[in-house]
Amino acid sequence: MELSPGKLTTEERVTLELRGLYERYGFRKYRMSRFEEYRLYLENQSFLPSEQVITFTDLDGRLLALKPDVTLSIVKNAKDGEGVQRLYYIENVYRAARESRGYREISQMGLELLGCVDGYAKAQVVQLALRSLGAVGRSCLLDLSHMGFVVGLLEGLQIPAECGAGLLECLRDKNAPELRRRALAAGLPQGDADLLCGLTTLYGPFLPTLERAAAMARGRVMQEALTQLRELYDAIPDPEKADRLRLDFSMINDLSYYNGIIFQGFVEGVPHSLLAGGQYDRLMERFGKRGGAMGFALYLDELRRLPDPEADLDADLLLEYRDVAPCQVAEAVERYTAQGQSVLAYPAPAPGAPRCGKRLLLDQTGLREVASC
Amino acid sequence: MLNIALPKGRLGDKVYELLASVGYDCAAIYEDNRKLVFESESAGVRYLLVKPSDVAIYVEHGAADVGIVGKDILEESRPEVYELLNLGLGKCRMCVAAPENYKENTARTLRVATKFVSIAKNYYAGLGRDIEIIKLNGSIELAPILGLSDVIVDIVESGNTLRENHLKVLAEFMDISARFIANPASFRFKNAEITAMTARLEGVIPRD
Repeated sequence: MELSPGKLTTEERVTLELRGLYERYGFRKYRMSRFEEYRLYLENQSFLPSEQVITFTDLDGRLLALKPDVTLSIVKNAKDGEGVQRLYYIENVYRAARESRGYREISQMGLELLGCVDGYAKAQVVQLALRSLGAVGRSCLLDLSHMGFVVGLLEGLQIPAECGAGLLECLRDKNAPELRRRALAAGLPQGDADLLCGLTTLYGPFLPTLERAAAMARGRVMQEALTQLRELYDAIPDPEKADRLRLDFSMINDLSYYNGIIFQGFVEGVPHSLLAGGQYDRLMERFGKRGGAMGFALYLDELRRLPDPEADLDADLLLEYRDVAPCQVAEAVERYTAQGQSVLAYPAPAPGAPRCGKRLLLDQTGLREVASC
Repeated sequence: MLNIALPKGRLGDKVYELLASVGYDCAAIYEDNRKLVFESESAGVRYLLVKPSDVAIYVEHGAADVGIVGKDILEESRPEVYELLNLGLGKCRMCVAAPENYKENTARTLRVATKFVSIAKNYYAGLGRDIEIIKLNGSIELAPILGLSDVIVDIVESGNTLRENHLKVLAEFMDISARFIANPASFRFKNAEITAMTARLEGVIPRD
């Protein structure tokens, strides 16, 4: 019997839909080993969400790690100078979970576009991120920013390097009072501190927020960032983009890896970001590869938070039998499973009150529906 | 409808009065009963009364959209939430304290009793001091009196408890007060409501 789409969990359905979507746009599936040399993560610690990695010694003495991340491996193994490579993956990664203070296996699906990342390629990645969120079937939002806008502002304000990390942390937390306090302590004039704090509230629908950002822009780097964002917006062929795309200039990724567009996706019902990605040309540079790179990951296991209507039932049918031959029970079960229905068969009365859509009784008088469960 | 995680107790009462004064009142909250959820449809809010140390957990996991929590708890647990406002209520300081006659011996590991393990570790890591943490859940002041620890790291409001137990403050290193926090996903999907609540609160809290 084949599993009907209605029986799939949200995670299974989204995985299947996204495979089809990514392949239609020319992305090839990339399969990798669960292990990688630990050195890769040691050298690129700040690219990872956590420094903690599960390590073990292989039989030949090499120190290996269970992968905490997929992108590093893809970039490391990318073929140099091959035009554009479009890859997607469905992989499990192993990371320390903050809440439970233990390691977790996290299932991820994502794509990477490596090589010549032109305006169209960027728009394609963002468009696919938006459609990936849409595949979940709930209200969704994709927040975009450009690292150049924030970096340009920080450079323009001549913030001392030692204060930069603390200020960015406050910005990421949208903590305007603390950001102002630290900016003033770092010697910024009141007007510059206010400008920096303005980033925390620079959030909202794409075009109106872009206008507000334009009023704040100082210098070529910030202007260029806004031009790229506008070009990106115009190149996305999504009729719902005005509602779904937003700008959030308090979003920051690691400056040593990310350099251009960055984004985070949210779906109603999931309390964290479900999708995250961006342009990471600097990671390519670190591995000595030519060209740029852009991609995103969607955290499939977060989808398990969403209710699955089918999951509330133990089976479609409960078949209870009394005083009949085993072959009669088998025949009745086959009849329904052949129609694509799931059946739980028990001698009457069934133990543990299973939750089923329908309840049938098979006895010497025949098969009949008795009551709904 | 905005779900607000409100800490039970004195701080929660003060915060509720603040919210009620800017239009988020919910008369049912004054009823003398054991209910933990109070709703006001007209004000568009639902108050969830939770243990103060659990407020950030409710907000981080999206069970509440916004909440009010002490800075000490935010620093200790580092939840993934937005810290939108310093409400300036429940002001106190995070301090290192020791017996009045205490003299530090820098040649040996410092024994620190505290409820705030991460905060204490970070503070001493910044000083490059080797410490041994003794995690306690209450009556921290007893630890140095009984020789369980050399010093304590704890919140000090008036200083009366320290004085009554013959302890003195050696260092103050963090200002604590109540913060208005929001879940990142709620901030997006309920942006208009959360922004309006932030603006109204900002209008009534004292400026530093």
